[in-house]
Amino acid sequence: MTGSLQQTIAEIDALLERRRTAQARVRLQGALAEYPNDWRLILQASWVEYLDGHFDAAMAMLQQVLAQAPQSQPARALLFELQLEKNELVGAEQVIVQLLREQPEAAHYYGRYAEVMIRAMQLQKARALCREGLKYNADDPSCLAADSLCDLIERPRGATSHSLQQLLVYHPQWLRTLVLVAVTLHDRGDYNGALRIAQELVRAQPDNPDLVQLAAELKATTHWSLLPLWPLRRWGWGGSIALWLLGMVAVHTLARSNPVAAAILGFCIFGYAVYSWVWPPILRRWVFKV
Amino acid sequence: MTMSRDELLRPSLGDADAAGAPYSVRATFLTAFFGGPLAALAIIALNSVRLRRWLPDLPVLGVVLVGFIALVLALDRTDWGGSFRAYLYGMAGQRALTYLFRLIALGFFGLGYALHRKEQRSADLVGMARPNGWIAGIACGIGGLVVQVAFAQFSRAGL
Repeated sequence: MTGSLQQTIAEIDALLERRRTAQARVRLQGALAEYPNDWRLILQASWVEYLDGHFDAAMAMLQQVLAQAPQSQPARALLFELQLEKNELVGAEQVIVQLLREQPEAAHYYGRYAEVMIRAMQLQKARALCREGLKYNADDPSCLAADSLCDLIERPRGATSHSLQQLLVYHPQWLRTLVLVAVTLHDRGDYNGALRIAQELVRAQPDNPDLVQLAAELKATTHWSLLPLWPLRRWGWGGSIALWLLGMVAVHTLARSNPVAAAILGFCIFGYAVYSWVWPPILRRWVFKV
Repeated sequence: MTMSRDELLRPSLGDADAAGAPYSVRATFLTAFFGGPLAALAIIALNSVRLRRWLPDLPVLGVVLVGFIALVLALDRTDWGGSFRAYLYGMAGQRALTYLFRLIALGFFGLGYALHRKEQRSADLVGMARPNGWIAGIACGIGGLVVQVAFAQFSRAGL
């Protein structure tokens, strides 16, 4: 009986590693009918809910687990992830610090703690945590991903990130590696390259709403009807300010010699500004529906 | 920055320390563009408070505010200001001062962007929920306008 339960738990773990939550649910249904109070199965059910984005349901189940096994590390690791998802940074920090005190050489936890610090906008500590974690495991994906994220935040857009290069070498198939590559390509202005990666990610995980959103946004960005917005995309808000300045100077200069042409130019600039504000969100909504 | 493991494992977030997401760059830009320099400074200050970094930002924003007030007073009450206004009117017409203030507001927006660039980027990349920029933007715009009108009244009364 116990051997069979262990085997079931191992099988469900394997399904969860591959994010096959639908199959895991079916296996869990049968297992929980037989062992309704086994906290390991309830924990797995909680992971399923977490992976499917049902965070409240996951938390409710996790409370049952923590009542039975308050010291369980996997349960507290999930508690941390749920708190992070809910942006409860103070609670998440307390949990991850406790886990790190128990396992001070667990590189993965340093990477996860760095993620909390990034969300709390404490980038120096995030960097230091990544460095500490990488001492214990030089190719830990969590630390490399958090360090890459720090690079994306701190360095000029599109700059090369050593950590991202490491991620590509050691974890080329990992979801976060590919998302970070897509963001870097987007920053460099290679929207089509970023879109191709996002589309591959959606094919691999069609139920992941974050990936679907990323792909839809990139699809909207690469739509032909947004081509006239290239200068604004290339130079950002500086481009908008320059456009306003140039437009104002041009209209005033022209107004002295040809007021009608100045009025037409003024309307064109106004129309361009309205189009740049109104059309992209409409297009994004339309792409989401398609 | 080098930190020992003990320092690293010391929690650094209290309830009061967790920064909130700043108002978006777009909200800040629109507030500056339509609301003017004071509205721009107000929304940048709000972002500083939300990001729990008002202390390092305070000297910069204070200097900028004092500089702006000095410019307005100089334009209104000095000979240099009078001739500068005349020059601007000659160059860009009766709305010249409006354009000048809008340009200054956009400069303030640029300053705010430089101050909070990393935080804005963090908020974008980790997908933090942004506060509603409409309410703050309109409030800052109205506040800026009230101060501007009050200043004009005082100026006319010769105070």
